[in-house]
Amino acid sequence: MSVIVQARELGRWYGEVVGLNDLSVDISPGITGLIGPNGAGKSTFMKMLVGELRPSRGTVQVLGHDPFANRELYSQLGFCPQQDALYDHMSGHEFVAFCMRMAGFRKREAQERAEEALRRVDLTDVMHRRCGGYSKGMRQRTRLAQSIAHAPKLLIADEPLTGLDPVARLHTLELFRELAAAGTSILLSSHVLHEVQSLTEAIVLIHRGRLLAQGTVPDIRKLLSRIPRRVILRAREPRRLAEAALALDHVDSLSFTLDGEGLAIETRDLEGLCRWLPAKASELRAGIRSLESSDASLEAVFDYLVD
Amino acid sequence: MSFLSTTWLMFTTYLGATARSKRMIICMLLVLTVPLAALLPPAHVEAEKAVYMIGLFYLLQVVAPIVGLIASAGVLSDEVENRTITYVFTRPVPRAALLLGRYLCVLVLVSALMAIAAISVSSVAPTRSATPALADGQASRLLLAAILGGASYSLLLAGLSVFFKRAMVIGIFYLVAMEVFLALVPGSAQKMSIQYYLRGIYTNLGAVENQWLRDGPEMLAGTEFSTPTELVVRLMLFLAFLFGVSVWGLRRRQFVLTS
Amino acid sequence: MKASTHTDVYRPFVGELKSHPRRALVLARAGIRVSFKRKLPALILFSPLAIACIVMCFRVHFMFTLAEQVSGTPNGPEAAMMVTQIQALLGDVVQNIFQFVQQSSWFVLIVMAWYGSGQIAEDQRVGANLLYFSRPLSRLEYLGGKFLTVFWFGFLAMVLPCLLICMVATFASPEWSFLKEEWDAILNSILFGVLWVSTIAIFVLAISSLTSRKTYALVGSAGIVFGTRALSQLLSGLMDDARPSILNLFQNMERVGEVLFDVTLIRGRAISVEASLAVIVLIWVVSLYVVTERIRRMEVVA
Repeated sequence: MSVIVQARELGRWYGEVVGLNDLSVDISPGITGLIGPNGAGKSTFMKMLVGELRPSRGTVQVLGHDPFANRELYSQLGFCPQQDALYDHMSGHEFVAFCMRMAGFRKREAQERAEEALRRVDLTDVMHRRCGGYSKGMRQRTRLAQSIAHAPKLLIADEPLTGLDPVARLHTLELFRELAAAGTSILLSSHVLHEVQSLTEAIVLIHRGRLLAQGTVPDIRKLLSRIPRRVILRAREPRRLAEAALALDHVDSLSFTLDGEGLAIETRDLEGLCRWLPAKASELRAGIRSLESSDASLEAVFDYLVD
Repeated sequence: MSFLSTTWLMFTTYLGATARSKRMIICMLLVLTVPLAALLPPAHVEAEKAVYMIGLFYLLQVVAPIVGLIASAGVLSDEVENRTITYVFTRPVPRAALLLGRYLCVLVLVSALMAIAAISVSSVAPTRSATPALADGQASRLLLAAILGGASYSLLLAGLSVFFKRAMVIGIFYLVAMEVFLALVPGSAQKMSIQYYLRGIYTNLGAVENQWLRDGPEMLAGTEFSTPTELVVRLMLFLAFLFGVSVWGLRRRQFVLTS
Repeated sequence: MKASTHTDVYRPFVGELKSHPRRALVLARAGIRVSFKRKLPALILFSPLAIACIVMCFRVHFMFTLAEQVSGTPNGPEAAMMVTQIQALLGDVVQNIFQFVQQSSWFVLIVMAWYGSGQIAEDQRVGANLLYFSRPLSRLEYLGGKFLTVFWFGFLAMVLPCLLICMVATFASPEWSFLKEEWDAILNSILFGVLWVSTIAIFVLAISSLTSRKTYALVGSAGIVFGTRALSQLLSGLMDDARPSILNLFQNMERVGEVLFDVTLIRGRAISVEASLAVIVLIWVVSLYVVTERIRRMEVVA
């Protein structure tokens, strides 16, 4: 199958709030990262993929099926939700085994699969303890275990790394790699680009309910490099520096701060500016006191792309 | 997974958990007040009258609706509020089986509680009274009405939880508006309340000499009751219809859960 | 080895710790603001009370207008008699206030239960107590804040309408006679309303503190009041004795109100005012014990 998820003009409203708007995307097999800041619409999109929500408009196909209440699809689908909800009265093993029973396995097989899945997420030691007593990381891993225990064709994981300590995070990333190597397609969401980047090249960027970009990490990086970066420097003689900076090709704009000691430079070549600045400041006796650059966080990228 | 095996899985999984839940303990405590109330009347009060009044005005009118309301929260409402419904709705199980399995679990427990309440009041009241005899069939009718009452209220309120997020709140308003208010309005409008059927099943005992049992409920209701068999059949049909509507609703329902 | 003290490690605090004197009010204000955010429940819950209040205000106004007509127009004894009969039908101001309280008691309970049930229960569910008690906020201030929130809604539902009725009576009465001659009725209305509302408020808070779900607390509050009322009526009917009505919270309140307003609603009530007061005090003591104990546990968890 060349496309595992196909969304066309997908939209979803919560009353007057737009959760997702006009999203058209094709996702291929393998690992795909769904990236976007909080409130971007990632969870809404995933809930529509697993049939928990129906689209307000548009269509969505998962593994060739309409996902809403589709039992045929659910046997091929694993979903690790974001919300920290488990059956607290059950043990981790009971919970995953119960999920496997619902997936259609006989009691013994369900228990074996639950045990195996919990082993894979490193919860063997505590699997007979009640979920109510689990730490946040354990709960996250239990949710993950129930989503992989039945060996789904497609695993949809909503922020699966949230709440995990660094070791568990590495372990989980390794698990995703193993699953992908075994032929499971994975769609996972995150708001941290580098987290997903260590796992996959395929990225879908969502912001404010809209698709911003889709492609590989190098594509996104190229996009990042084109964003003008803002550098604020404080100096004794900022006007001299401003005059010299005007001659640079990569400088888009210059402005002074209100106190007159700060100079804000917008440049498309941050490295070039950093190479040029020390020598020039020395030559002009500008007396640089501080230098700071605006962040290149994902939020900034999104803001740039949206604007 | 087939319909029957899912129903059985849901039933067996939730029976133990529901029986041990806090809400069932509250229901048990509430049911315990029924035999305690039967201990209170002085000896000169006829057992027949005591069982009649406690059965009708306390067990059927107060305890059954509240127990039904509390117990039915376990069918769907709790799961939606805890946001664990995701795990069930993303599995290849028929949604109707999910509802049926869980409802059967609540039904078994509520019926057991209602039966205990009805049997205990029919057993305790005669021991306290100077005239211990009960009317023919009074105890068995109370038992039937109590079980049907518990079943009807729990299904009705479980059905509400399919359609409304705050089903318990809607349930309270329903109980106050329909079951308390409408059941006391003279005329055929009260046939829309479950109370009408329960009263009819319990009190329409045929040739009974006691005026409480013969005239009381009809005077209260301001209308004539049909025969108990007819009332039972109608109530069962209503429950079946209600279950059908709930299943239809559940199959189409999407639960918007906030993270 | 002797461990280093905090003063060695941290800069010792030398200033004066300023305490905010009205933390409970801040909490209450926030609670009220949040509760009023949802307009539809407020509209549904307060509409019947507003309608009842308006009707009562019109009745009181009409009563005084009639009284003026009787004294002002010499239309003969028949007309005067008719007016007197209508006046008797309308009752006096105190009766109207009492009637309003009686008629609206269930609505007031539902209003207060609706807004009050989530106050502590929701804090426990979402762990807001961790935030509250990590601030310089005492248990008493927390309870005070929550109590004032619930009390405010009861005040709006019951005390305010009673005051409005009194105000209409004051303005409608000739030469402020109501204010001059029956000023104690205004005070009694406030006193009675405050007693009623504060008792329900502390009761609802106690139930709320026992659960972690608003809905359960709502069912619990309404269920206990409704259940005890039904039980008292049942036992009264069974025993041919009105004494079990002591189980009914509303009956006890009415009994106290009768003494306060010096009116008789039900002749030959079986319960004495002392017994009713004792029940109300018992509700207060038990509720306060429950709520303080639960809040103490919430603080310990924090």
